[in-house]
Amino acid sequence: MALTKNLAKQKLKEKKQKSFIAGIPITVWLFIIVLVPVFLMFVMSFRQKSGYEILNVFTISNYLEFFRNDTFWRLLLKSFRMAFMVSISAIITGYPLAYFVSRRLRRFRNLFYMLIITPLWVSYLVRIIAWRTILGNRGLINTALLNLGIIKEPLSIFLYNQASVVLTLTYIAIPFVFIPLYTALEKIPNNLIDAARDLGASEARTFINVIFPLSLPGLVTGFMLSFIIALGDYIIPAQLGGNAGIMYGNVVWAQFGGAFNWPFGAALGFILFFIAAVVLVIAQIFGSKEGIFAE
Amino acid sequence: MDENKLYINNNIPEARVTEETQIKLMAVSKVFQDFIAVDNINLDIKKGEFFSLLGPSGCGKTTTLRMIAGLENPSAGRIMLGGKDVTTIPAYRRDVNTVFQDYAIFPHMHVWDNIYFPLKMRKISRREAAPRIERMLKLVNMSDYAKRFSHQLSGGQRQRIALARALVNEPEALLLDEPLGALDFKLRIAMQTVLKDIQKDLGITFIYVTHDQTEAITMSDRIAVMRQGVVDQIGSPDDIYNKPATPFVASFIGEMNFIDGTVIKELADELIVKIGGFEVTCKKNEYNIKTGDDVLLSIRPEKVYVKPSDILDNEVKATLSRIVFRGDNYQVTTNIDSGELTSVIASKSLDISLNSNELITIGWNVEDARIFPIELKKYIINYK
Ligand SMILES: Nc1ncnc2c1ncn2[C@@H]1O[C@H](COP(=O)(O)OP(=O)(O)OP(=O)(O)O)[C@@H](O)[C@H]1O
Ligand SMILES: [Mg+2]
Repeated sequence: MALTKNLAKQKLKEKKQKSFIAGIPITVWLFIIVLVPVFLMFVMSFRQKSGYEILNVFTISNYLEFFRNDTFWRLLLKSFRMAFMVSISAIITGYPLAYFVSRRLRRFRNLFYMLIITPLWVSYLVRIIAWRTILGNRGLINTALLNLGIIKEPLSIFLYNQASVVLTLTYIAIPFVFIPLYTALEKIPNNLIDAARDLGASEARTFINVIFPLSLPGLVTGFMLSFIIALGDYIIPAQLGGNAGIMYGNVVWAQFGGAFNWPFGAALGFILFFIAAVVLVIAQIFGSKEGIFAE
Repeated sequence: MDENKLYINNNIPEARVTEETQIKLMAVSKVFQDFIAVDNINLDIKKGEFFSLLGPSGCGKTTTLRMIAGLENPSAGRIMLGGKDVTTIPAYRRDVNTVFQDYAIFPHMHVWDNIYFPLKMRKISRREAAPRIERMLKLVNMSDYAKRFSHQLSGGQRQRIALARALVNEPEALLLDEPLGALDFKLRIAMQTVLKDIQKDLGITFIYVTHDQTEAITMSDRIAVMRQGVVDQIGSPDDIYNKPATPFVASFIGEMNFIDGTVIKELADELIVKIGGFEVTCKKNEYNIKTGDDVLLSIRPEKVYVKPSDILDNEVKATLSRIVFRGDNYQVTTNIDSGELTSVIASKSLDISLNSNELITIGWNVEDARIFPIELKKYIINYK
């Protein structure tokens, strides 16, 4: 007994060593493309801007500035709120879509799948401009309302506010929510659904008790993806947000652009990075706890 | 398909109606696109019976079971459950539960919650359910595993959880789809006993799907043997083994010799059949075989005696071609001019040696052989 146990242990050790060696290239890769830039940004955030020069000093004044000036953390909170709204609305739209395509469609399943992810092939900027033309003064909605005689003057309420930003971000996020949800839903074995029905669960209760819990890993992944996408975006708020729709990403961007304060921009960026990482880790723990049955 | 039905439908032995009928299938068919998976079958399953659906892969066993469970809608026919027509009632409102072929344990719930599931669906509180779940866990000998997840269990353990989950709300009938198929030999034998004991203790009707003839024979009260969507025979294991209704049933269960012959004379209860150069006597049966008909004679190897010491009803001369030692017996193959016959002889009593060219006597008794119309020969299952 003890012998076999030792043998098993040794096997496990060998297996671990093997997977360690196999993991080296990906670790190096990860290091180069992710950790090094973050580290450089981290270093930058402790420097100091002076005129048009960046001094090679060590200071935490950039971070202190963030907490001193309430515009920044208020904006960060607002961005969180908006990103949360984006994720929730993307899931509310994406879930039924993913459920329908993965579990209800049979013949046209692949076609629908392609149609839903097609926007990913179109340039991000093009899609944003498209939304401007839909929401703008002479856009699709206003023209339609004018032609129907519901309004006399074009309405400007559709553009340059928080709602237009959330709407467009949601649109951008839907494929990112759809894909993991679709994958999770499609993976659910039919016999589990048969078993639920057989054991007395109606369609609704089968969904609540079996399908939904089994789709949670996909839901968490989709939520995370859309949350991160929305939280860091600065182009959509700049294009469609106006003053009201400005987000944290815009001020970070401004520090690297017009303000030419790279150290402060780096500090703002690192704060966002840190908080996003914490969110990711929490979601990951939750996701993997639900994900134990994934295999 | 029509042509073989001609024979089969007339020959299904009438189920002895001694007890209350629990499940009744009346002319049930299932067509997938243009493929007939189940073809007009009739079943009459009694309360408390251990009833098996036996047949080769793809013959429609699972489809039949799924129609009884309500997971598949029949294309034609009616299904009755406890005297009620349930043909259009959805699965979740039918009082039968299924143990699925791959167990279908919910992976996001631990064992306890899995067994609680059917009770939860009946709005029974966890407190109220606890003693029942406890009892079920004890019944399947899994009390220590209540908090485990499916991926932490072995195949045999999953199987037992699936059983407990399907039994906990005391269904009218339990449907089992090859529940032991994935287990190794020893475990399968052990679980057969467990299943049979549980069935007896609870008195619940079991409909048991298997393609393992030994399993069906040892466990069942009655067996329906299926072939390509039709039922060839329904009967007790003894009937199925000793009085197979068709060559298909005869070949599917156990070992069987088949020899071609021609009827040359008709007596009151018997027919004289010429096989090769010999004339043998056969019993008349439900097939209306007449003089001049070509027939297929079937006989079990253990009923063919080599160098018999007693005088048998039928005796022919044959040459010895093969002797195979099989542990507890010998399989002896002999040739007569119209075919091959194998015999099974207990290993202690073999007093022949392989000396070809020598003609030896082999024989059998009239009641041990059965004859079929030669047209049914094509349904013989030949795994060789
Ligand atoms: N959903 C379906 N669509 C089309 N054909 C099907 C479907 N389900 C089953 N069939 C066909 O019906 C026939 C009977 O299938 P079934 O699963 O009932 O066989 P089975 O007797 O249970 O076989 P096995 O012993 O291999 O499990 C098979 O030929 C199968 O291909
Ligand atoms: Mg099957």
